[in-house]
Amino acid sequence: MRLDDDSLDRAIMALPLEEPPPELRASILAATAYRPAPPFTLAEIVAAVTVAAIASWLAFAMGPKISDAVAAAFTHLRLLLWVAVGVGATLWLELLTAGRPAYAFSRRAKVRAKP
Amino acid sequence: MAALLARVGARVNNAPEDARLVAAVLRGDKEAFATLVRRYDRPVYHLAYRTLRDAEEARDVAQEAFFKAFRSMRTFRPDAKFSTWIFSITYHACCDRLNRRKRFSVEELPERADTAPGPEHRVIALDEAQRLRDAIDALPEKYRAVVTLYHLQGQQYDEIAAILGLPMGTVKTHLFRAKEQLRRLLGRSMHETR
Repeated sequence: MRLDDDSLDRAIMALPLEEPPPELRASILAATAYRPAPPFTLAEIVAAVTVAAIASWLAFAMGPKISDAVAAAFTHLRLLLWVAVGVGATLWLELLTAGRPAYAFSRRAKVRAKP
Repeated sequence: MAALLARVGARVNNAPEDARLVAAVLRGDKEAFATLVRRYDRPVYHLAYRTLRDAEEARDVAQEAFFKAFRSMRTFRPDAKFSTWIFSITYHACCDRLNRRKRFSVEELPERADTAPGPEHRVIALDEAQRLRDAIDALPEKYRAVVTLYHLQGQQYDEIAAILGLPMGTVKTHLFRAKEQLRRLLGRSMHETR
């Protein structure tokens, strides 16, 4: 190899770029441009929380009858058992779907994820 | 030589097309960002790999750089060049990792090529490109970065200076000294192979 300035420049410029790992591009795209849309939009979350807040407020504001009935319901062993079964099933499904809500697999989510 | 430099410059010098793609990304066109990824993933990986000399870390840095770019696209100045921006993000991510390495080990020392036996001893009878690559690896980090960006950007010293956050004069000085060291290392390797 000749070592004058021009030859060295030419040698540097002629160096091929490093070959990236084959899956690099796919993983970058999956984390950026082709990232699936979140299951719920911010507006949907705000609407759901608002509805829940209004429902709770109505339940407690409409008098002690409803709140007493709700409080009494939670003293029943059978109801608590069903609540426990529901929570357990939810956790199990959560583990089964690796933290992704079933919605993420739906057609609507795929349509949303499309650029 | 001028033709070669122009060709190399053109490898990453797609400024007008990039500006159009960036504008499209800002309008919500995700496919435009995918095009930018396809255009720059290889040079970004190259910069990360040549700076860090570790394939695994270079892969992580390349991913991190594009993710940061995607998330902060709105902060991108329209008068800037996308290539300069993405290389700058990549280089700073590399610097963070090198600093972390220095904190936890003595592996990366800036003046390694001057003081201790380093990769230059691996420079043996290989083909010229490999010898040159090994010689670049043996350079101190600051010179290695300048040579790598010179390789990617061609003679656009202002862009290299913007990426590294250094004055243009310093970039030219680093490049001059890097070439001197390369000549010395390559001369030694040729002598050893005879």
